[in-house]
Amino acid sequence: MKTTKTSQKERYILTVLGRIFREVFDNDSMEITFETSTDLIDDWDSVNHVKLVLSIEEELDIRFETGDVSYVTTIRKFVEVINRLQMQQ
Amino acid sequence: MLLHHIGIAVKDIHRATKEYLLRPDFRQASDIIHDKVQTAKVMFLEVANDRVLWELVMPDGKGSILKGAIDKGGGLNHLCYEVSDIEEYCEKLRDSGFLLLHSPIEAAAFPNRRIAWLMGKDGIPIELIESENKNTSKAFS
Repeated sequence: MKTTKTSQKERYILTVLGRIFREVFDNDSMEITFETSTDLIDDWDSVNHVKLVLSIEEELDIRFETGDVSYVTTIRKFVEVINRLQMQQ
Repeated sequence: MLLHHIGIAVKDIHRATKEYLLRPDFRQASDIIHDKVQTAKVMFLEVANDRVLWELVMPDGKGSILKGAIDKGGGLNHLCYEVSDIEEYCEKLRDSGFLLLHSPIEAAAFPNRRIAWLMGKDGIPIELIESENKNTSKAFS
């Protein structure tokens, strides 16, 4: 069985993402997991995707590369990219 | 930046063209052009005494990125600004809170000119097009 170890930093990013998702989708009860994807949230369209990325950039003081924007279709991918961008700083 | 054209998403470009041409001073300015970047069939209209064009954009198939806009009823789809240095303005807009969705690429409707796509938090897509210079050929050819 495949297992994935989640670091403290990744859990922190998940917490931040949860706050941003609730704000962008205006849903105080929204819960996200690493498996949450564009397919599972009806309102996760291209406009909300841009709002999510820009809000994450502001909150975490990072800048997504153009190729990253279309790549981040799941929370796990968001965490992966955020981790990489923070490491590069 | 100068406003170059207003993009309007339409379900049926032929029907929409007929309707827009009923408006005073509206004239057809191009044939239908296939824009693979927008995954759309597009047509330009001009208005007498106005330099700003109108671009009707229709999905070019089921996989078009415009499908969502049409499902929401169509209408105002994007604003296009003409800029002298497209890289410079991509960077300036990025610094002012826009995401670069598509890096500069050859424009389907404007030979020898490049376009780029960005979007800010207001959700209105912004297209940039390089200014025409003396070496470029006529638009819509």
